[in-house]
Amino acid sequence: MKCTDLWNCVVVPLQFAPTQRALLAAILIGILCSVVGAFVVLQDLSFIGDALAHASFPGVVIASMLGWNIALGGAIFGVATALGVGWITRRSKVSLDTAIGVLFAGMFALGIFLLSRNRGYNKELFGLLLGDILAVRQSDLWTIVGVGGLILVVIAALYKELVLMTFDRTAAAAQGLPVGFLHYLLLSIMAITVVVAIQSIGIVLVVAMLVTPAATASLVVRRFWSMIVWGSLQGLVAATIGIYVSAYIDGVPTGSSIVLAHTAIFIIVLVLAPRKNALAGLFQRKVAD
Amino acid sequence: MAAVASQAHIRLQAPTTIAPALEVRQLTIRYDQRPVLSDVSFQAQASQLIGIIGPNGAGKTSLIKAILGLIPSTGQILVAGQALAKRSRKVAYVPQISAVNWRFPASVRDVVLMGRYGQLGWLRRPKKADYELADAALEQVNMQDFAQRSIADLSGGQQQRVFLARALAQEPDVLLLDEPISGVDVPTQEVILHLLRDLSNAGRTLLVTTHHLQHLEHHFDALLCLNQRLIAYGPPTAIMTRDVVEATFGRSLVLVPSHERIILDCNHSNCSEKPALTNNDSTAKN
Repeated sequence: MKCTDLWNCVVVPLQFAPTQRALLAAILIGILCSVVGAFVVLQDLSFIGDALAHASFPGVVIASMLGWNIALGGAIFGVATALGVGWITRRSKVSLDTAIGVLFAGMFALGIFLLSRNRGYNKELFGLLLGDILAVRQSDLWTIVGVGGLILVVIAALYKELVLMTFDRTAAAAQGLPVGFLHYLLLSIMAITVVVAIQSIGIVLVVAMLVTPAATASLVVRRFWSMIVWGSLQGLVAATIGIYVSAYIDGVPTGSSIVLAHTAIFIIVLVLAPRKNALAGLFQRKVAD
Repeated sequence: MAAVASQAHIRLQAPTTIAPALEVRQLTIRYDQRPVLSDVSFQAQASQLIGIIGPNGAGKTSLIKAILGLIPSTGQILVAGQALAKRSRKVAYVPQISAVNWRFPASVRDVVLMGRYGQLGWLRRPKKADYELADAALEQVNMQDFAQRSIADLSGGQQQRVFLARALAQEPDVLLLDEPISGVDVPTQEVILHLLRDLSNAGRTLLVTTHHLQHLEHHFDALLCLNQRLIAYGPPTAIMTRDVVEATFGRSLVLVPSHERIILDCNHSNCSEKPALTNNDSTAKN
């Protein structure tokens, strides 16, 4: 793609409908992931988020083979794995990390097994591993708007309960909140968010969409709601940068350029953060323990 | 008319027999079939400040969590004569400050306001009255000047007071505190213990677990000595006999009466509980 001046450079990619859809999808996904990511980061669920992305793989493969909605197939396996992880840790002495390790690798292996039987689908499924946002259709965009909107409404409605559980689960239970339900709900929200984002960002990179904006915000902000606002803005900015980068540099998958934009923002903020930040405090606290 | 009057009289009398603020009947807690705490029964009155003592694994924290309904137990728990409802504002909990996610970005006022969340109900935002209760609770613990501070910037004692304020914002009759004077320095311990005394003087019932065995008789109206069962319960000076101390802590502790104070000492090098021996052992963080 070629352009003449700055304004022209901004406008040219937007003349194409696929790029318009891609930009809109990337921004919506970026904001959704950042909001959910604030809870993920503060509850140390990053590893689970990554695991969920991988665990959704067999669902994606099966849906693709049967011609079903790929996001739906992934969501079923993602949510089932999330509930399975919770179930294993409640029913046995297996730790959370271990239960995740078992299910996440097992599910991903199942996906590869199924995939290897159907070589014809390789191109599409390779796209799912690394993401292909320019392939987003109008109907995919509606899925993102509908599912993402529903998740944001649920988070807004249960905001204070989710915040209290994230901050101090015992006190939340002592106040009579159903922490078990809220925990499963949050895991399910995370699973659905991951699956919605997979088509654009790819299974391998999607965890960064959740974690990096919230992690960057935690370097600067001092209130939970401002963490969400910062994350959403960063999601918007990184999505825009990522789409333009992949529009102008041939062959760069959009998932990688968006995630790279997030990572660059994180590193810049880390270096420029004016004071001893929350993350540094975390490491110091851990050392002190 | 006479019959009606006498019935009314009976109805009036029933509530006037004052039920204890907290009554625990035959409470038993099991973990994987293994009893952690067996057959504990006691009553706590309004305005009582009660210390729960015992070695590690004695069931101190389990007792508190069972009263809060956080872990399964058998037996009865009555608050002001009534079986405890699941979402009850009457009993508030102050966790160990080491058990909280201090990375969470929140102001002091945000945290205290969380004490109102359980009562607000689903889909309700805090209202002006809730903010006022939160601010009043902060004043009670003398932390009003810190309302807008970030919780990550607070000292251990200030964190403890903020959590106390969060519990007070719930307007409870009974407060359960898990190791409130652990991980803070001695002057801060004094501040917190004074605060607890003020709260009990105001009519609240406080149950406080502690492994600081100094000045017990000075700080608490009654002691609950636990070691997987209730060893003794009563005023410190009355119950802290050699037999009770040995049954609670084993033989690693000896009782030394001195200057009308009870001093508990640890005469074994392998004494795992580390009771407070000196004034400077308590600054280490958990």
